[in-house]
Amino acid sequence: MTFKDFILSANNWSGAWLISLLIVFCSMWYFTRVKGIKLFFVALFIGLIYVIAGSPLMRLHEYGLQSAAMIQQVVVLMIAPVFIWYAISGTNLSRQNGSRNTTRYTLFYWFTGTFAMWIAHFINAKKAAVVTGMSICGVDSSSNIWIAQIPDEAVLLFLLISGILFFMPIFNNNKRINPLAQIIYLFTSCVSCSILGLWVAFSASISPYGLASITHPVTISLQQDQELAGMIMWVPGCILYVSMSCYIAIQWLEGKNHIPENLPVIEKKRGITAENQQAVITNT
Amino acid sequence: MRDKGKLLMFFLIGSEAFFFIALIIAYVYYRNITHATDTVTANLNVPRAAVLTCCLVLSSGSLMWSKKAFLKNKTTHFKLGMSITLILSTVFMGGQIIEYIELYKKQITLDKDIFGSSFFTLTGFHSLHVIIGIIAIGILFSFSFIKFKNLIKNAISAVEVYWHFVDVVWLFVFFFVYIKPLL
Amino acid sequence: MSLFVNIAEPDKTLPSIKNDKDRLSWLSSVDHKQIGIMYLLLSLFFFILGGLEAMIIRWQLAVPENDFVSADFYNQIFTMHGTTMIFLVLTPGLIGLGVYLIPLMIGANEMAFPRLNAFSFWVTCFGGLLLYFSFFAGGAPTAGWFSYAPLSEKPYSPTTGIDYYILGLLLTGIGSIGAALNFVVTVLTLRLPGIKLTMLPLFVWMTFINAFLILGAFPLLNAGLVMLLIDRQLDALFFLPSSGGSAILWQHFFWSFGHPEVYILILPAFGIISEVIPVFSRKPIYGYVFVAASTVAIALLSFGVWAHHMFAVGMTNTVNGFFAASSFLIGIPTGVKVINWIGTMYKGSIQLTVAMTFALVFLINFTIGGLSGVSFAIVPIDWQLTDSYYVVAHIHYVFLGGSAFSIFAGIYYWFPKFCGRHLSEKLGQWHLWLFVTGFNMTFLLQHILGILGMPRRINTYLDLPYFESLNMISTAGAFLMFAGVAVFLYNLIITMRSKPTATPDPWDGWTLEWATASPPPLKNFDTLPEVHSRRPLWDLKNPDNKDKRLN
Repeated sequence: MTFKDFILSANNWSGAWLISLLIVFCSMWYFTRVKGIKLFFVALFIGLIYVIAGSPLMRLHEYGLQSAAMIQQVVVLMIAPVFIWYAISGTNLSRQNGSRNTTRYTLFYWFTGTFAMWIAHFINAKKAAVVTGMSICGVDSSSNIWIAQIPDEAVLLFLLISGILFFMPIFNNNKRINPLAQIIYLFTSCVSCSILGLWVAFSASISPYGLASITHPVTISLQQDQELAGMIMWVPGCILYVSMSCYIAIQWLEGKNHIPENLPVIEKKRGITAENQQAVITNT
Repeated sequence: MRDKGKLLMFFLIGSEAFFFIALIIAYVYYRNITHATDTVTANLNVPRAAVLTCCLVLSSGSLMWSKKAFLKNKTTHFKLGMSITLILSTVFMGGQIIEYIELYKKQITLDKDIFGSSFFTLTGFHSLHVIIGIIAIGILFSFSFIKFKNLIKNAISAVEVYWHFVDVVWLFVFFFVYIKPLL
Repeated sequence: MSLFVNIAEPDKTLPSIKNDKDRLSWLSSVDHKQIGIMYLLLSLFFFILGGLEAMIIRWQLAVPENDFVSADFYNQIFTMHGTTMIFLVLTPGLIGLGVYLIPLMIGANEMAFPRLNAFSFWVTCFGGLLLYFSFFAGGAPTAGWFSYAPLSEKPYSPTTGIDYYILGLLLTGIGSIGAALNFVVTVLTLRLPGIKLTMLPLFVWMTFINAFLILGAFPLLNAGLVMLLIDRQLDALFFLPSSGGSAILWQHFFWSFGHPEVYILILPAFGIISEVIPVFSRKPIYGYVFVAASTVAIALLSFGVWAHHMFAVGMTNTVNGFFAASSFLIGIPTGVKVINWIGTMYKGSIQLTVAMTFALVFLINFTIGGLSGVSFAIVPIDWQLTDSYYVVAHIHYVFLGGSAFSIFAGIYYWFPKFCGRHLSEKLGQWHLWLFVTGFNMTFLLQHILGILGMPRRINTYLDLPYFESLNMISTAGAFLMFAGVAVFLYNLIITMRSKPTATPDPWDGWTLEWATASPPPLKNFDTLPEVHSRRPLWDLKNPDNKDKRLN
C-alpha cells in the first residue's frame, strides 16, 4: 500500500469522530449563538481536532511515528487553543479591561504550557518505544510499561487543556499581562520548545537504533523520523510563536485602544537617586 | 516595577539562565554520545545530595521570610532569617566540598574523562554562583549591624531574586546529574 | 537614615582632554556622555589596528605566491582582524552610540546604573587590550574568529594565543552584557513621563530590543569559551573528539551565539538609519509600527537559524532543510525595513549631507549583503561556496557595508551633538566616496573570486586564471579605503581644533537629544518640552501642525 493509498483509504478516516464533532459544533452554535468571525474560529477549531484525532495522522501515530505524534502535539498545544481563544475573546489583543493586578498566576500558566509539551512527548516516546521495540529519544521499553497504557485521547485532551491555560495571559481580557511581557512569555516558552526539539532531533543520531527503519505504512528510518519530529517542534513551532509575537507587537505599537490622558505639565521631578548622586559626586 | 535593582537582577538571571542551559545541554549531550562506562554517577552520594537540596530550598524560604520581616521592620526576625539562610547555604557548600573530596579520593577528576569534565564544570559553576550569593547575603547581614538600612532596602529584593534563581538552577542540576541516571 | 547627601547637580560643561585639570576625570568618570565618547574612541582605536591588519592581508594577497608575511603570521593577522572588527570595533561603536544617545533621547540625565556603565566600558577596554597582548606573549590566536575546535585545542594550538582570545572575548562579552542590562533598565525606568514604550525613537527601540539579544546570545558564547578554557588550561576533554568529546558542540555553541551576534551588530545600525533618513528626507518614518515590529521578529527568529552556518558539517538533509526554511524567513522582516526606508524617502525633500549619503550607501550595500546572505540559505549553494571568498565578500557587505557605514552615518549626524562642531562636509564627501569606491572594488569582485573557487584563509595562492587580476583590484580598493579612513581621521583632527560653532539643533531634528545644548552640559536637561508624539521637537516647532497625539 503506498502512502497515498494510506491517506485516501476511508478506513483511516474516523466516522465516529466526524459525527461526534459535528454534534459538538452544532450544539455549541445552538447554545452560545456565536456569529461571524467567532463562528468561523469555532469551525476551524473543530476541523483541527478532527484532523488530529480522526484522520490518518492518528493511525501513523499508532504505528509509532514520532513525527506524526509531534504534529499532533504542536497543533493541539499551540494552534487549536489560539482558535478557541479567538472564538471566546475576539482578535484584538491589546484591549485590557479589569484590574491590572493579574500577573499572579502567570508563572503557573507558563509552567503548565511548557511542561505539558515535555510530558506529552515523553509519554508518546514511551508508547512508540513499546510499539516499535526500539529506543526512542533515549526512552526504551524496558521499564515503566504502564505509561504506554495511557490512551492517546487522554494525552491529547491533557495537551488541549494545558494549551488553553497557557494562552490565558495573552488572550483572556482579565488576565492579560502587558504586551512586552507577553512577548517575553512566548519567547521563553519557545526556548523550552527549542531545547526539546534539539533533544528529539539530535538524540537519534546517537541512538544505537538510528539506522533501523519503521516500514509500515511508510518506510522511514528512525533517525529521519525523529529529526523530522524535532524539527517540526522546533522550527514551525517557534515560528508560530514569533508570528504571534509580531502580531502582538504591531497591535500594541499601533496603540489601537489607547485612551488619551491629560498629563500634567512635565518638570524634571525625577528626584536624585543614589546612583545619579554618585555620578555627580565622582564628576566634581 | 520601579525597583531598579530588582529589575536589573531579573534580566541578569535571564541571561545567566542561558548560560546554565548551555552547560546543562553540554552535560546531557556528552553523557549520551559516548558509549563508555559512566564513572561519575556510580560514585555520587545521592541521599546526601537530596538533603543538601532540601537545605538550599529551605534557605530560599528563610530568605523570603527574613525579607518580609525586614519590610515590616522586625529586625530580630530579619537577623534570624538571614543567619538561618547563611547557615543552610554554608551547609550546602560544605556538602559540595565533601562530594568533591570523595570523588577526588576515587581519582575522579576534571581531566579523567568526559563524565568528569562535564560534571565538575556544571556543578562547579553552580557552586560559584552559590558562593557569590553567600557573599551577597553575608554583606547584607553585616549591614544590619551597622545601621545601613537604606542599602539593605535597595539590595534585598535583588539578592532574593538571585538566590531563588540559584536554587532553581540547582533543582535542574540535581535532576539531571543525580536523579535522571537512576530513572 | 539616608546614606547619600543631597547636593545640587553642577551645571558646568563636560571636562575635555585639553583641560589639564580634568584629564584624570575621564578615567574615573561615570557620566554617560564621557563613557559614550570613550567607547567611540576605543572603537576608533581598534578600527585603525584592525584596518592595518587588513592592509597586511591585502598586501600579502596582492600577487600570487607572495611571501610578504609568513603563513603563521598571516594566520594570526586574519584571526585578529576578524576578532577585532567584530568584538572591538562594531560592538563598542554601536554600544557607545547607545550609551551616549539613549538617555538624551528619552529625556533622562543619566543611565540607570552609571557605575555599571563605567564598569562595562573598562571591562570591554581591558578585554581588547588583553587580546592584543597576545602578540607579545608568544603569538596571537591563529584559529580564525570562530576558533573551531579541535584546531583551537592545546595539541593543535600550543601557543597561548587562544587563551588570550578566550579571556579577551569573555571580558568583552561581560562588558556587553553589562551595557545591555543598563540599556534595558534605563529604557524601562528613566523615560520622561509621557514617553510610552510605543513612542520611543527608533534608535532607542532597536537598541532596547538589541539589548535582549545580547542578554540571550552572549551567555552561550561565554559557556563555550569557558569550556574551551577549561579544556586548554585544566586538561578537560569537552571539544576533543579523540577522547570522547565533541567538536561539533563547539560549533553549535559558537553559532547559536554567532548568528544573533550578526543581528546584534545590525539592529542598532538599522536604528541609526531610521533616525538619519527621516530627518534628511524631511518626512516622518514611513510605517513606524512595521519597522519596530519587524525588529522584534528579527530578534526572535535570529535564535532559530544558527545551523545554516553548519550546513557543511554533515547534518542530515532533514535538519538542513528546516534551517534553510527558517533562514529564508528571517529575510522577510529585514526586507520590510528596507521598503520602509525607501518609502520614507519617496517624495521627501532629500538633503544629501554626508550622513544621508552614508545612509543611502548603506541601503544599497546592505541589500547586496542581504541577498548574498539569502543565497547561502540555499543548502547546495552553501555547500559549493562555503569557506570561499564568497563568504568573505558576504560578511564584509553586511558588517562593513551595513554596520560600519551606518556608524559613519551616525557619527556625521551626531557629531555636532557630541563635540559642538561640524565635521567638514567637503572632507566628509572625500571620505565617503573614497571609502565606498574602495569598498566595492575590494569586495564586489570577491564574490567572483569565491565562485571561481578561491578558498578563504589561505596566505597565498597559485596563479590561476583571473586570480591575480581580481586580487590586485581588491588590494587597490583596500588602499582607497585606507585613504578614506585617513581623510576621516584628518577631518576629525582639524574639526576638533576649530571653534565650537554648532547650534543645539543644527539639522532641524525631531528627537529630544536636539533639545539641549551641543555638547550637552553635565546635567543633560533643565527643562524639557511635553512629549505627546514620536517627534516631540516637531510638535514644538509646528504648533499648528502637530503629530497625532499618542498619550
